[in-house]
Amino acid sequence: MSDIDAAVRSELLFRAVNERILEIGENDVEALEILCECGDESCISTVLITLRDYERLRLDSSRFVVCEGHELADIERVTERTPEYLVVEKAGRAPEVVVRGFADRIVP
Amino acid sequence: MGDDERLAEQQGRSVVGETRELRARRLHLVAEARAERRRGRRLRELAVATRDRNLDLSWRLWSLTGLPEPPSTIPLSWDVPLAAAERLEAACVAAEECAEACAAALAGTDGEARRTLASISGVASFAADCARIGAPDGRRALSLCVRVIQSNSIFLDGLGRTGGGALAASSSRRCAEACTRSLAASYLEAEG
Repeated sequence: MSDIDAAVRSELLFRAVNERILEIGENDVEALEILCECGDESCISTVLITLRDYERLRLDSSRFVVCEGHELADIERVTERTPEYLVVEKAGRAPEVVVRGFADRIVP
Repeated sequence: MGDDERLAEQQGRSVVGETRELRARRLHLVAEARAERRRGRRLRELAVATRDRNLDLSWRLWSLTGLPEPPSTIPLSWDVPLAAAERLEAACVAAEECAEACAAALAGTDGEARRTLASISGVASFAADCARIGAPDGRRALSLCVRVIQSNSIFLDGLGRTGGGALAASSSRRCAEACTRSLAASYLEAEG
């Protein structure tokens, strides 16, 4: 597995967990404490984000929410910067890996 | 029969009689020793079962906030050696219970506590699903679940002292423990 594949695989895992957090919290909380969706598998940083913002961001599967400093310049570019988090978009070959990861359903 | 022969015969009968008595006494002592051993074994088993029951009740009391601190050990019955598949099933059940307990505790909390509970519930629910269907990333999901619960240990300590959050706190602890054991068992099985 290449570095890009490994990083994207981690991001997809975090994304899948965050979608579950969204499902559980959407009726009970105004803001979510989601996991940082970076490419470091050992990361357990959390990001505070409003429900509305997260729902907007996840509409585009190539965009991920990460903590400041967790972005990977080789495979993504920062499209949005807030005091709490960064929004990164996959660049180069990474979007293909994201699409393949969703298609292979590497996570439920 | 001469006097010497009669004397020898009497002595012989006496020795035979004494031997019979000693044999009977020996058999009696052996039977008593066996009975004592059986009794000792029963008492040991009873003591272990009582200790286990006591520990189990202490854990339940703690989860119901009847005790300020959790017991320092777990009952022996909680630690039966299991194969990786059984450990995975146990982790799956524990993660489901954790997800449900944390989701149920959401109503009694607000702010940061509420968000953290939603987060733990989501991670545990996801790990349970991955384990249940044998997803390729199942181990990573279990590992993530353990790390998220452990990183919130101070929060869970505080939650465990509240009426509404005790079950969520104890379920989370059990979930992390079960997931850790499942991961260890799967690594050992893969190596072995």
